Amino acid sequence: MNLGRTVSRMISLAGLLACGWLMGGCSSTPETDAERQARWQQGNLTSWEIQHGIGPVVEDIQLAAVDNALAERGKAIFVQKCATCHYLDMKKTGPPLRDVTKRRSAEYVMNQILNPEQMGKMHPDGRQLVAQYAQFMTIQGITRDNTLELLDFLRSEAGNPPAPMEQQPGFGTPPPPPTADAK
Amino acid sequence: MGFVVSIIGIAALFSGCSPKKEVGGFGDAAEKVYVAPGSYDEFYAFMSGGFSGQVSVYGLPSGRLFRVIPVFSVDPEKGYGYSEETKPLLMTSHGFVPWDDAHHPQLSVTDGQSDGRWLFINGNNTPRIARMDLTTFETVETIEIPNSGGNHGSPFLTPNNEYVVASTRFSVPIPQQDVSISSFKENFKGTISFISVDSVSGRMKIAFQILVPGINYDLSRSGKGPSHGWSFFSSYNSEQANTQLEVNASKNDKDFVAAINWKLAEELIAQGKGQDWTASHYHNYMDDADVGQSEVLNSVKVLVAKDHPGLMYYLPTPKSPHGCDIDPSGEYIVAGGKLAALIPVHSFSKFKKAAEASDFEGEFDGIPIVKYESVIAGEVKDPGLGPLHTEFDGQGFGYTSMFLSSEIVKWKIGTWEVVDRIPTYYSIGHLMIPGGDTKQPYGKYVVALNKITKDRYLPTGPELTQSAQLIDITGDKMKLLLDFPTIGEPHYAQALPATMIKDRSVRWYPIAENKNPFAIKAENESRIERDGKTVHVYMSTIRTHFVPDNIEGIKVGDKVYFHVTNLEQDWDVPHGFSVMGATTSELLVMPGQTRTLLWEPKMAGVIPFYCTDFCSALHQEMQGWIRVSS
Ligand SMILES: [Cu+2]
Repeated sequence: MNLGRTVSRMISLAGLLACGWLMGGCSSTPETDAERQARWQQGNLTSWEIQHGIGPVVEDIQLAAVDNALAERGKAIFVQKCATCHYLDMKKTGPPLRDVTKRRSAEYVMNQILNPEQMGKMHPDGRQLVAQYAQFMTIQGITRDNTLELLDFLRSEAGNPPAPMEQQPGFGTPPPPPTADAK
Repeated sequence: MGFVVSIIGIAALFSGCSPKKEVGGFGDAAEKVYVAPGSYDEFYAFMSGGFSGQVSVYGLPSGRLFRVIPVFSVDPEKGYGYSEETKPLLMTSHGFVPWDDAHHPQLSVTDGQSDGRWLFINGNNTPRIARMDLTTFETVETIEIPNSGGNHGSPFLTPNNEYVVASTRFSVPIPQQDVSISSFKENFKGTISFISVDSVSGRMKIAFQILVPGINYDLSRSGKGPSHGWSFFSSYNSEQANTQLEVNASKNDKDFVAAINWKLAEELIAQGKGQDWTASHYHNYMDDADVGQSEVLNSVKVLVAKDHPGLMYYLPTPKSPHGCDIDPSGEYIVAGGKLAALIPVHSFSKFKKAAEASDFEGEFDGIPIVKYESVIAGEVKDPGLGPLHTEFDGQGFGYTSMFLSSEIVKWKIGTWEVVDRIPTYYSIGHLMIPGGDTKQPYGKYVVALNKITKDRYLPTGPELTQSAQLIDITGDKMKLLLDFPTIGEPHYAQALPATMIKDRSVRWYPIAENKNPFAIKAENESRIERDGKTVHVYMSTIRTHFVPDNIEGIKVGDKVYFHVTNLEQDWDVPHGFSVMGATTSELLVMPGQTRTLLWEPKMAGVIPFYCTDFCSALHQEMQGWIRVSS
């Protein structure tokens, strides 16, 4: 990872098991969407998937302490791409996110960002959120590296007190324009 | 005349047997055109929308309509010609012209083969050429052709996109002047334009025009292989009649195919032999910021054909020829003499010899006429009635559409004998074989593009749909597989394998690369700015809201520009934007794109706006209000 720090990765036992069971011995061919869909329809999500989400992240992520530089980059991404639908402290188009890293594992957050459609269709919690908010999370061209930056931003905000509306990142409802005679 | 009688006899026979069962078609036709749900068609077919001014995109063999690309006509479905970004594409020296008659789509070519980059089409009525980008299926450029009285014989590309070739259909005084119409012979001229195409950007420019005798130039093809460097044009009204043309322009036994040596023209221009003529014309293009720009150009280089020996020849051709097509080898030039009882085929090598030997039978308005016997390679005898256009299968056969007898006739190159024929329903104009005008046609199908569908479909009032018919040409006998309705007049079409385009199709525009000067990159950049009586609203859109969604401070008499940026970065999620009472149309904004709607509020009140393109379960909630004060 070219992120200025190490992210160590381990294949968890659960992940190994799931992988072996799914693909007949961890061959290099990744599961197709259709295969995953079929497995979901048979009620065959793994407990790892229930806990960490469904998506490209299939291994455990070990996060180091929050890196401020990363968190800053994460904030910029949040403002540009996430704040269209999320505040930190209140509902917008999607749920508030201040404490999401306390509620969810890093893997889960990453999978939610990288694979919102399957998370919304196939994961029980994802389905429940889609029902509640009446829409799927959008794909915004966020890379896997971006998700790690976003995680550090969200972790740095987790546990802080709620901020007023106008201090929410990305908040920008414009003021009414000056009247015609102003100029 | 015996043939005419027998055709009428057949027609009578048809109308006699009722109720009519399927006309045409055969047992396993359905299987051959069936494309299973979720599967892709093998070919993209691009069909002209004729007088709709558009291009429609179909899949073959299914005949499914995928998209209509607006070109010369405003299109409210896509906001084309209504948004401030796209309005400039419809600018001409006559002003904003939101319609044209688009006839001949032509795919860009490299080494005489389709390269899948661009699609060109002509505007016949207000002479223009347009270029579409096949990664986005959007019109990205239009250029007006000055000194033209109707841009029919175009756009026909030279084998490496060097030039788009365009001829004037109606001769007119050039330059325009106030003269008696009866002075046609003295004052009326034609032009043939060579429009260069930048090999990287595709950007067009009128490289030069050739002033030619005043007759009607109809259709064209550019030479290839041995005939590379030449372009050929069918022409009619060699009588130079100016009234009752249906009688007076059909008197001569033969008209011409005009041959132009464009390589020589290039040299003459390089030598400074071109005259600079004042000719105001518009060049419009989408710039790097995806914003339409218009530039007005004021002159063109003109070569007067008769002043430059070797530049132009006439090949006598019976009778009132319409189509002019070149076989895959580049040796044969086939002209469809729509009033002729045969299909004349000229030989390029014989023509070249005859031209070099000055083997002429006379001249027309200063242009040498090569002897018919010296250039003709053969004649397809008794092909049917009203031969128009020919395409090739790459297997040694030509296929010619017969307008009057409504059929396609297959004939053998070299022996010129008719080997097969199939009825079409009805009044076929052009026909198309995928790659049928290239060096290596893909063959497989011929598509008939028909003018009339009387009794083929459920009636829809006085006007019935026009149609295309898909015919299997893989066997010895042509077999009708399918007919499907088309938009406007399917004048001509071109097709290429879907694989050449499919994987290069753009899915969304990266928002970071959006260079529209009014774009915003994030929701918190949305804002409203007033400058006198002009208000700029920088608005964002994403499932499922606009920002801002409450706008106050607008006054009656303001000019309000809504610059709507779609912040989505996902495939197939455009958003729409419309305002009650707006006199234009909605905007349809692709993911990552910015489009601008101009709105001029006429009365005080609170006016709603909303998203027009269903985007999510909360699409209905995607709305807002504008307060207008007096
Ligand atoms: Cu919408």
